[in-house]
Amino acid sequence: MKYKKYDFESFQIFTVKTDKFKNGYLEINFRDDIRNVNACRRNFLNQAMLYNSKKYPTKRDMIIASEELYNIGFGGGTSRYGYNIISTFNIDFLDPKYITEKDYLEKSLTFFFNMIMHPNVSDNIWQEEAYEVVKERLHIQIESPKEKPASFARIQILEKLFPNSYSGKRLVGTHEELESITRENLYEEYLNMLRSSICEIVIVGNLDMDEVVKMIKKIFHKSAIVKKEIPTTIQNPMTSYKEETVQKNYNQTILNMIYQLEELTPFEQNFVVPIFDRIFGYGALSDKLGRYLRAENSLCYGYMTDFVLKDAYLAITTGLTKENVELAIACIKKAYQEMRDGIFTEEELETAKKKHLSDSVLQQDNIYTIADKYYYHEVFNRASFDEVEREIPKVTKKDLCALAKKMHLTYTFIMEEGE
Amino acid sequence: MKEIVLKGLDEKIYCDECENGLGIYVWVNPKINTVKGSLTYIVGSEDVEFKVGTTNFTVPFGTAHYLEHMMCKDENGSYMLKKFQELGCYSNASTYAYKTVYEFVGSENIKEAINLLLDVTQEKEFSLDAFEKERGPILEEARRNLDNASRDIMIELNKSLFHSYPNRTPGVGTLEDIQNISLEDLKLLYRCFYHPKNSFITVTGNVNPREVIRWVKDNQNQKEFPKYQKPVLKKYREPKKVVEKYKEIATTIEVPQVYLVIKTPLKPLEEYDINTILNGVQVVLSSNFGTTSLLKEELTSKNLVTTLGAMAWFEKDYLLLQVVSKTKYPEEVIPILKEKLCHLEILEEDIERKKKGEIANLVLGYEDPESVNDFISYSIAKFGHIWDDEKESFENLTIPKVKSILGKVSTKELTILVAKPKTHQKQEDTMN
Repeated sequence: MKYKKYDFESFQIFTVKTDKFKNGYLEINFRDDIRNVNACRRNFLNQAMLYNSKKYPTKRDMIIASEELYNIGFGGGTSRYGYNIISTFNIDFLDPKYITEKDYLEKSLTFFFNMIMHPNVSDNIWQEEAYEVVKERLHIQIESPKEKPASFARIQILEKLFPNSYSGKRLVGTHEELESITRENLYEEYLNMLRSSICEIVIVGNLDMDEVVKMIKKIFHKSAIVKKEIPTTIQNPMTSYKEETVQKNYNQTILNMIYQLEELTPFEQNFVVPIFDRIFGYGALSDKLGRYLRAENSLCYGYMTDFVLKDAYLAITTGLTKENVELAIACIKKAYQEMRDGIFTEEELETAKKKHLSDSVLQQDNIYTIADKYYYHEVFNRASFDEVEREIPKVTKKDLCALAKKMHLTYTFIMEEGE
Repeated sequence: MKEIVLKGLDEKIYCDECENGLGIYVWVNPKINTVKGSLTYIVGSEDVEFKVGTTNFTVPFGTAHYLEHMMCKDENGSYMLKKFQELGCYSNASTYAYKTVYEFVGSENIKEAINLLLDVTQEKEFSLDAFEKERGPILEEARRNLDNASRDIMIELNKSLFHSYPNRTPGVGTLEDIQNISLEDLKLLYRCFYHPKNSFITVTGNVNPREVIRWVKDNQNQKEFPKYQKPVLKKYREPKKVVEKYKEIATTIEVPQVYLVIKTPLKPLEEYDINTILNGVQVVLSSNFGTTSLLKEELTSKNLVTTLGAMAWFEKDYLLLQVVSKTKYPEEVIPILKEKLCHLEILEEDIERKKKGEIANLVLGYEDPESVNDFISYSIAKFGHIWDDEKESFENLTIPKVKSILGKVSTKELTILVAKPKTHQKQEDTMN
């Protein structure tokens, strides 16, 4: 894989040339400080831009155009990384070598950037259909987590644990926030995004990257030069321990435990956390949670740990019957305490490292992971594949114990099954 | 070693068979690191009634799934995942309606992983203690599924469509079924179906096919197996009529969903292979209900539906044409969808464009070892062979052929299922 970075005044392009895939992938990210952005509106904007465009005024027109380009896939979404709010648009296209049409790549890029540069706006007002359809979908999206008990539980926890922080707020917003978005201020948001966001493009595939970059320069115009440093972690204040039980009419009880994290070093974030996770409760059954919750006590089928470094917490989730909750809490606490006390073998540590390195090799066979990894490395200083290979062997038992000591149980939330 | 050349795709699948009957399939992609190995047994969650010789056997629903769980534990109750992890591999197992699959994914120690995969399932020692300890996790898995609306809807839909097919019960079994499964049930299923003659191994990714075949044969040559008992699965006689024409259910959803499904016998379509039938019907359904259909555009722009899609599938002797939509206005939308489903239009321009897209998907499909492995396992377990002419099948899908297929589809038997949100959610749940 050949990595190359192109710096222009108003945007950057990161390319990875590789012949592993039959397709190519391109994404453009507009990145801003969430503290200065209406997140709900920015998320709405992303969906509205993907719905149609000036050239393809209906969703159907957009899809037909994409199918004519051999089913080019396009999509996107809005995400948050610390205080960064990222609006992403992406396309998947066939490696041009499989297509006889000479200008296939240029047509694909034109289709994509047309969507970015020319939204369906007239007289500074967003097109009504796109606005109405997207608004309705987002209203539904606000309620949809209730269809999945574990997701519903997590949202409630974050709202309760971080009521005044972006960590506790969903990007989709609330029904009231959605209703405050108008066709006029949606277009203002679009202009604001182009004006105030940092813009970064990632391309992966078997392409002549210099040529692709030239094409992009020709068809994508962004004049605003934006430079700013945006923190990648929201270090919420440590809260005192709370335990709460609510009852819902689901068939299974969901147990969630949150450990907040003190500030971690880059080494801990990139290399110690994943190894800790593999020994503690990655979900692979042979870890500590698997042993105590499932193998020894038959309490659950699945369990999950989720280190959310951007918000400095670890969430542990499992589904079980309410009668088993107390025992499960004791198992989780025991597993954590053992990590803190270094009660795990060198063999377990070496297996975890080996498996992590092996997964890192496998990730290099996935075009989207390659794009993601390179982007996060360049922009947020997350570990590259090479750094993972170099640094993971250096992780010690002492590092894992030290990490455990930076973790504090602050919330136990039980969403109890109905009668 | 034989080669199956996939016409027009510049791909081939190597295949062979061990003396004991175990099939071997290998697909190579030298540009990547990943290797996936899977061992498929042709027995699944629906295989609960069968005959060996003159003796009939019945096991509770969920037995194949329970057996799959037990195969992943050693006699001490430890999960086999750990052994794969020590080799740097990830491993998993899944029970489908018609097959059970054990698999690993890794980039190193592939020979050792293949041996482990074969040994784990072919040399099984069952322990009663480990068996009983696994019942709790399986019950929790089943209870988790009860909160999964799509599974709930699928089962209810099958109950509306079919009188006799075993897909009317969840693959993991009901909570009561799981409680009733005994270790003897597991041993019976294992003894009858877990035989090399009823299984095959598939290895895909960056491997040398000759080497893989040699490893597998070396492993098998060291083992002895009892004679294969050739169990015969129960044949179901399914009436042409649907069970219920209309049904409403309440489940864990927030927006109502409507399902309209036509049940039509495959018999009148027997001049075509199942792939051609499914491809032909699918492109027409996409053209009528998919993202580029005028109907979807109209219903979406009026905000009458949030989603709309359609698919063709088959279940034993029947072809099913299904339309599904999320809508707040089921009463208004159902007659429109029904009218369209019973009078499908064949639009040449649309179909040609859809074919182009499907061919692109086919080309892209032969890249990822995990999806190629799944495809081989599906084809062999479900049909006993791999289609080598999938691309041609799409290219040769002419309008007269599509018309001929659709002409043999009877729209007489149609079921409608409306899934509505459970009314239990309290006011304070509104997510503001």
